[in-house]
Amino acid sequence: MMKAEHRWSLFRVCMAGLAVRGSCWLLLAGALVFAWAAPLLTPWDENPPILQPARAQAAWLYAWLALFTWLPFQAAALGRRLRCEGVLEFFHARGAGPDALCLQLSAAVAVWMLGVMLLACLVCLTVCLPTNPDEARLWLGLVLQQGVLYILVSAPLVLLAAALGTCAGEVIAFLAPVLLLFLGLLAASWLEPLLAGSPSFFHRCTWLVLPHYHLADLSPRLVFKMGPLAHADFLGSLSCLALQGAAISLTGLCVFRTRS
Amino acid sequence: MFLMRTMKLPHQLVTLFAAALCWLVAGWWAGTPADSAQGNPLALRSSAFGSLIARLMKDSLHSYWHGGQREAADVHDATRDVAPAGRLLRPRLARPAAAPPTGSWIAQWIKRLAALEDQRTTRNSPFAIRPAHRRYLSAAADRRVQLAWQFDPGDAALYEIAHFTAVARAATPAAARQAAEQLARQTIAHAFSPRSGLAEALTGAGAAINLLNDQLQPGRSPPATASLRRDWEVLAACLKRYRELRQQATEEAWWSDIPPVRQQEIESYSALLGKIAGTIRQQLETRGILNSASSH
Repeated sequence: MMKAEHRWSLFRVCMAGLAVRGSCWLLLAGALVFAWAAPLLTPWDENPPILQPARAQAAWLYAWLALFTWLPFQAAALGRRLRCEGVLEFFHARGAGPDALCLQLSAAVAVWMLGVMLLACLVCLTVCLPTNPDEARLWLGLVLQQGVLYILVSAPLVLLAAALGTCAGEVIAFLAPVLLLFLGLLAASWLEPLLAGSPSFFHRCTWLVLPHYHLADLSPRLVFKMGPLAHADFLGSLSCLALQGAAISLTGLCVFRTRS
Repeated sequence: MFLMRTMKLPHQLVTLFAAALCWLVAGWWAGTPADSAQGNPLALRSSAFGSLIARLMKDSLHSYWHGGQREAADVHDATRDVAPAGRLLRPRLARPAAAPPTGSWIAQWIKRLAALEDQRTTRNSPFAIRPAHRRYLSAAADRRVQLAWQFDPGDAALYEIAHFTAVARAATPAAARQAAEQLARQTIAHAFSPRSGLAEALTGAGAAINLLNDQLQPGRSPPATASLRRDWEVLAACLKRYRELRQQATEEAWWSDIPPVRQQEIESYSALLGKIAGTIRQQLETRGILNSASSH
């Protein structure tokens, strides 16, 4: 019992620090406000059936936007602050290993990531739930798949931001995961025809070693109600993202520093 | 030195090696992607937010067509200078003195802000746009039209401009026809997607009319009857879908939520398309492709 408390003390300290911050709660409130307000800006009055998918799209758009901005920034800032103030060194001296400290630190930010993800799922499963029970079952499967893939992408990136925050400047710690996410999620659609279709061996290898976060973006399936991924395809995407996530997490654990 | 001092070499190296291995295996795994975004990150294209982005992009398109100035419709406002596009700054400076602002101070401030905004987008340079620069502007505008059409394939204005630019920029007539047909087929497919609305149905009808017009041109070799009949059926189906949606809009009372200007645009465009469809039907009947009884 004492050991468990000892092991998670940094997590509890970080959580207590974050929970008194207004921006954390604004992030969560913003998810609901954005999912409600953003679709109203679209020309839905000419075609009311597009409003419901637009709500699901807005909810997940917000989750991805949070992963581009607030989450890595907060993780990087927290890592930087704790190391500068000697908190990490203190916990290290009390006997906690660096890997455990890194995991606790990133878990404190990942809790808010999970909050955003759960709110996106909540929006999808309440206001956007199809009335036909069979279709609703498929929709539930799709939303769960999207939630799992989102966690697989975001958790390692948050860990990387927190770990880089302890060994490099805040700006670098923020920009590195954002750049990876941009490459994998947005730039992939432009790079794929250039690199994957190229006859050059070097180009094709470059495509393979880029992050493949586009596999985790199931927004087209949500917006156009295309149904969940087949099990084999989902497991394929899951394995690929899990492996890349493991690589990023291991790199994060490597660069984590506790010394002030 | 820093690295040497802080890294516990074997442990760190093994971890980094494991990370590299994981990344490489993931890359090999992704060699057979299960489901990619198909060039549509976050599903923005063809979605409600895509329509919003396309509408915002239209504003910048006007600016490209008018050499950096706002759209020409602005100059028809009676309270504004009626100078044609490209007029120099000097004559415009005299305007506030000639027509002093009237009304409350709020109205005056609003007018002054509008005047400043006008000046922001007024051409001051005495030099004309050079041909090379004009070519750049034209190419940039084309690219934006293409992108905006991809965001909202159901927008009639964007489709018609994209059709015009695709035909005008093609190297050979055959390439132009192929590009126009591809664009039309994609637009029609979008018009029949489950969540398409009034505007999408009308744009699909416009695309079908373009296809039919191309085949019915006087200089063309006799077109295939089957192809003409198929495109006519597409046109009729698009117009039918529009009529059904229009009726549904009245019955479900969401037609009245559409702004009046937009209502009028939709009504007049549907009337125009209906008239053109009537002319095409007559031509097809004259050629014996359609029976007058079955064509309605």
